[in-house]
Amino acid sequence: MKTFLLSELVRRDFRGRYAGSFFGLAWSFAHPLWQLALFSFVFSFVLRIPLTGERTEHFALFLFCGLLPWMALHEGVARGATAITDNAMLVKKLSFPSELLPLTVVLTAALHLLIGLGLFIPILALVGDLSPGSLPWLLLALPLQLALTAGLALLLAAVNVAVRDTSQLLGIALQAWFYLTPIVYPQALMPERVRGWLLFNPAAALVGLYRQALIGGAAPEPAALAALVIAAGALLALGLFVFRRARPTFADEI
Amino acid sequence: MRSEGASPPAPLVVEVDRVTKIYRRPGSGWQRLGRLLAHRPAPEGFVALSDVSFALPRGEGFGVVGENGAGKSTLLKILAGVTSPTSGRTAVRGRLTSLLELGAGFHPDFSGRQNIQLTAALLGLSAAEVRDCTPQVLDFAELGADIDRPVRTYSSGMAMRLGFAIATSVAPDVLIVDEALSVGDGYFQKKCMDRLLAFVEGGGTLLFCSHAMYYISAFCRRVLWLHEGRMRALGETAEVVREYERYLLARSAAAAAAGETPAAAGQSAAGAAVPRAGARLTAVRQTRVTGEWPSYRSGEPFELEISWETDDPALAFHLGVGINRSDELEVFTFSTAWSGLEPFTGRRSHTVRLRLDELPLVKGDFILYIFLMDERLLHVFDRRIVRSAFSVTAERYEAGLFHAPHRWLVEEE
Repeated sequence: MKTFLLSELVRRDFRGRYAGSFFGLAWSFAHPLWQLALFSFVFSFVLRIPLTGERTEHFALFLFCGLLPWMALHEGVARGATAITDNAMLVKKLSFPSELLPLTVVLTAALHLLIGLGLFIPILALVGDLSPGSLPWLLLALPLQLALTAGLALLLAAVNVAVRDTSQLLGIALQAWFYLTPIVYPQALMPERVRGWLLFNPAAALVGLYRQALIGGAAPEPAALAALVIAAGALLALGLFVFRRARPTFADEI
Repeated sequence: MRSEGASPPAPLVVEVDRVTKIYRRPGSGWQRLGRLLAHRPAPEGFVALSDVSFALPRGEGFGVVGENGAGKSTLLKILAGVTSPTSGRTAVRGRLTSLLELGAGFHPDFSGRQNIQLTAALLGLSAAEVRDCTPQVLDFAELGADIDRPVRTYSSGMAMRLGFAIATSVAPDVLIVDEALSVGDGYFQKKCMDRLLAFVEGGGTLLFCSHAMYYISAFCRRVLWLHEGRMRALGETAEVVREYERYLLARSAAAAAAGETPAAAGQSAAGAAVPRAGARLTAVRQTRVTGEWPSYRSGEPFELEISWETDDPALAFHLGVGINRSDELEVFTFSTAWSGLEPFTGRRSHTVRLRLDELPLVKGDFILYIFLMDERLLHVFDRRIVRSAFSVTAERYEAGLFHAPHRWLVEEE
């Protein structure tokens, strides 16, 4: 019964976003492709970041392996944070499991990610950079990404009800997070003495996992992988706990 | 719950046990966050509800009355599970749907049909249940081909029709209606009334909150009167409504004396909404007198001719006539239903006359109220108020309002 509601909400979110626009779903690709083009120009053509220790020579492909999961993470967390406040009408008037609202946004973002992967993998294969043998790693990467995103979305959605500054602060934090994660540069370029801190950035290991799965990059270090699993699990548990605790007051606080 | 004799007690569907709701004054964001997580009620705050308890068996219509801000909406929101009580307990057995906000879940870019599915899912239905109830919704909403157009192209009346159709078609055990009945045109309003009545008669439990005592009396067996968040009275509808109206009257009289507008008194008047569709009064005529301002001698015959027209000959009507003195003292009410007449139906235009052979009024200026109602006296198709309708004069000076037929019996020696 809840899965039916969740699927209806995802449909509402997904289709609602493109309803009435001429290019429809195409817009969800235009944005990442545009980012890809700009970043490639700046970091590959102008700054010429060397792909030290990576398996591909094509900067765009290297970049896209990181950009795809990052954009889904960004979309899920940023939109998830306002999922309750944006749907004040529903929360104030109807009684339903409102945790489905942030989860809906996370799933919509995951849907975009899957569509992106579905288009990207054939391109990789065409260019010859795909490593089919390591694709199963996606089966580890995707659930971890979902848990991480859902945990943050739930946590921030609940906090944003009481403190509206959250979604503003989040914009700044996400920007920092993006550049502190090896997405536009290879991890090997990071100075040795700060590289250890990447352990505390679950997105770094996540992006590493995607690179491993898609272009056969080096596997994330076991410690980093363990940290990612712990972070994803802990954030999901914390998000659920805080959300459930705060939920009864939503209708009064919005 | 007492059980009497052999009959088992009716199962309780709704239980409200010493419910109190205190709204906190908004503090700073971080303070609110702390309280949010700690579940700690702030010491100070606005008491919206205080120590409210009642229980409803299956199949009861239950009314909630009270002035604006008395806590009616808060109570219904707590029962709907939208907000939680600060203390106390509520229990609802079975599916509860509420008409707190018709069409709250609608997505404007989706078609009516897609919105049926989404709203029904939000109300807790499964995919199979949605499939089962959709034809019923379509049938009731009567949107025709528009059902496949985006909801943003709907008029507000159409959207409300769809919302009402969904909320009442999902086979709820408990239905909450919060003054949501100004839905659409007269024809649809009548349909909604019939639907709610059928719901209660079919064993549904209805929680009904309205300023229209007329509807409260039609749907509800018992009524709760909330006053400043507290239970002022709970009991048989007729009794509580009488008490409440008496209170409103006293309050509006006090307000009038203080020079305020008696808003609450206006809300209590019988016809809350007066739509103009379906049927309309075309003429109200006093046939026994002529002239600009009819005038009668006390004891003369009085005759009122009322005509109306309808687009739908299948509609059935009853008439209500009220005569008030110019200061709104209610003097007479007449109803074709109370007099045992069959409802008027089967034609497009009707004319009915009301005759009093001897007008028993003594003197004064009078107002006429004409109500054109449906056969169940639930819905007012049209009404007409004729101020300064007629005046009555007596041949000699008399104190009082009426002539009562009477005799003097004098003891003989």
